[in-house]
Amino acid sequence: MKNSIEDQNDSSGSFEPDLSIRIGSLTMANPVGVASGIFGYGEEYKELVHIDELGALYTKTVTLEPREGNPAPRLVETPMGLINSIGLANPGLECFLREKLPLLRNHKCAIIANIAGSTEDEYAMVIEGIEERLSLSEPLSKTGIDGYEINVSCPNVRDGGMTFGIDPVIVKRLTCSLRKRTAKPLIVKLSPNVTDIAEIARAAEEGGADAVSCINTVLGMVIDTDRMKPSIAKGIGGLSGPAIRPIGVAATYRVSRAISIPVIGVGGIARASDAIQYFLAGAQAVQVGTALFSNPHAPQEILSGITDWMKRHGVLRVHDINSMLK
Amino acid sequence: MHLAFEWPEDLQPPLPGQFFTFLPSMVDSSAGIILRRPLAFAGFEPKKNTADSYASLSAIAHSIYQIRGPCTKALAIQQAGSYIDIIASLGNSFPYPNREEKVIIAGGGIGVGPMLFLAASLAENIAIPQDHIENISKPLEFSGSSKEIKLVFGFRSMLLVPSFKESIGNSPIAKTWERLLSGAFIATDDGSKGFHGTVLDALESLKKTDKSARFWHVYGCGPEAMIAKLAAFARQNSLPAHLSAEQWMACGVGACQGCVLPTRRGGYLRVCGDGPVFEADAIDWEACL
Repeated sequence: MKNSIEDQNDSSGSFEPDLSIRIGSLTMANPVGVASGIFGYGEEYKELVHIDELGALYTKTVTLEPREGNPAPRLVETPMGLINSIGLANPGLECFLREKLPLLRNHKCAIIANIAGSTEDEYAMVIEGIEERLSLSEPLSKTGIDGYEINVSCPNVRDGGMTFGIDPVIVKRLTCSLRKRTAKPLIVKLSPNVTDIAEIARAAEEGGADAVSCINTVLGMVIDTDRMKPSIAKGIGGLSGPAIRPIGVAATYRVSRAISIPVIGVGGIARASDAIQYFLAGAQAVQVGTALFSNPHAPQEILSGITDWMKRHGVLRVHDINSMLK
Repeated sequence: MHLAFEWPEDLQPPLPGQFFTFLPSMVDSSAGIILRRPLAFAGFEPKKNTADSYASLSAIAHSIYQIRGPCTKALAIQQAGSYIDIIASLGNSFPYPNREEKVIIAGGGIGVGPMLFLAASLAENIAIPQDHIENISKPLEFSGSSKEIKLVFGFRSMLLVPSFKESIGNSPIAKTWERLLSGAFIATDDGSKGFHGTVLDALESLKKTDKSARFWHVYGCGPEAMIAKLAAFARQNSLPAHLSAEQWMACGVGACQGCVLPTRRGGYLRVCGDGPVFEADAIDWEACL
């Protein structure tokens, strides 16, 4: 049996699976990360979560200039889901480098900076800004920024974001341009709000991406029937949470069969079995998002559940799960 | 409704204005609820050491809430002694008044919860003249030191004025709340109890007869419309005011930028991370309506 480790360990199940995963040149200690936009830059949750135990922390999106974000209210809960329209509110690159980066360096997990821009140039300038700072200060530091997640899939901003991510020509050109500016892993975060997500994933791979995150939020809307107006100020927002998990799993299944770079599964992961669905569908790592809000211990619980599952099924490495789907 | 839960010894006591979030795991999963729910603290009883040195009563945190949706409904039917998953204490707290200020505590509807906590906490530090406690027809005024506290609570009707005697009997917190409520200036929208009108109407009326109204420091919590009017009232009368805001929350700890309110200077502030207590002038309350 291909995935059996019985020849390497005794069959009593006492072996320890190898949880580490590789994205480009980067090794993450385990496959469970926290999705962008959930943890800010790691400060607010540090008392509630052992961030060092995460596989990766994907930061709140960084843009060149500070962004105030979208009007309030920005959130509405839906059955098994959450619609948000934050609008990439963030303090901008300069503040990120000055105030957030030094704190992020203290964490032992992989730090992936999620970046966005209104124009293709702005994406490049954010990466250049971070790369320059990393080369100036502590060039040998293991932590800092270990990779980039390119947000071409935010549904809540007018320029950039999803308008880029729905066009394979732009995705390829942008990825190509960013590839020239960093040797660190580039992860393109895909939008599910497209006709053919596999086509966009192929464009990212052709542009030189090391991985894709699959998926960003799904367009959604709730209307308050008493007020006869949308529940969030922007009307339409991005739906996350368990409601979108089957969409994410299907997208992961299709994308992982269309490209040869790793797929990072995102969308509605709240328990270990959710993450394992993504692994079986073809993901090599996962990100936990909305589930963190109700349960800050979710990543650790998911990781320990994945470990138990791997032990039970005699699986040595996470990517071995990819080939176990019957 | 009233929620009380045991407070861990190693955790700092909550402050008036702060809140907690609970995991509504008691809600039927068919409701599809995925977020925690925020509630304000309405009181806190520190640990008491009893005469028997082996027994001591744990510290207890209190909150009051209205049944509004599936989560509060499920919470209300929980058995005493149930387990509840709580993250606390969250947010900032009401600042203390300056020495020369006269404290006005305005609460609307279920927003009286944190205001009872604030009043109890301020009163602890101020000598309470007995005649005011006995004489419930007058607004409660703690004039022992240089400070005075006036409570002005508004409700839609007398049926919505909380009564703690029935629900929690003669516990110390119930006594405190009852005492504060009985000393409060009560306004009802329909005139079924106390002053006929809103909290704002009541404040306008009190201001006319209070010679020291220019020393008022207004504290408030209540429905959005009341808070907007309180802010306007404070601005018109050049009074310092600290108001507690409400907004839908996802993380509750300052990370997700979901629960923001627009500021008067442009931009947004997070209710959980920057509030929930704001200087009245900081927020564009009208835009929140």
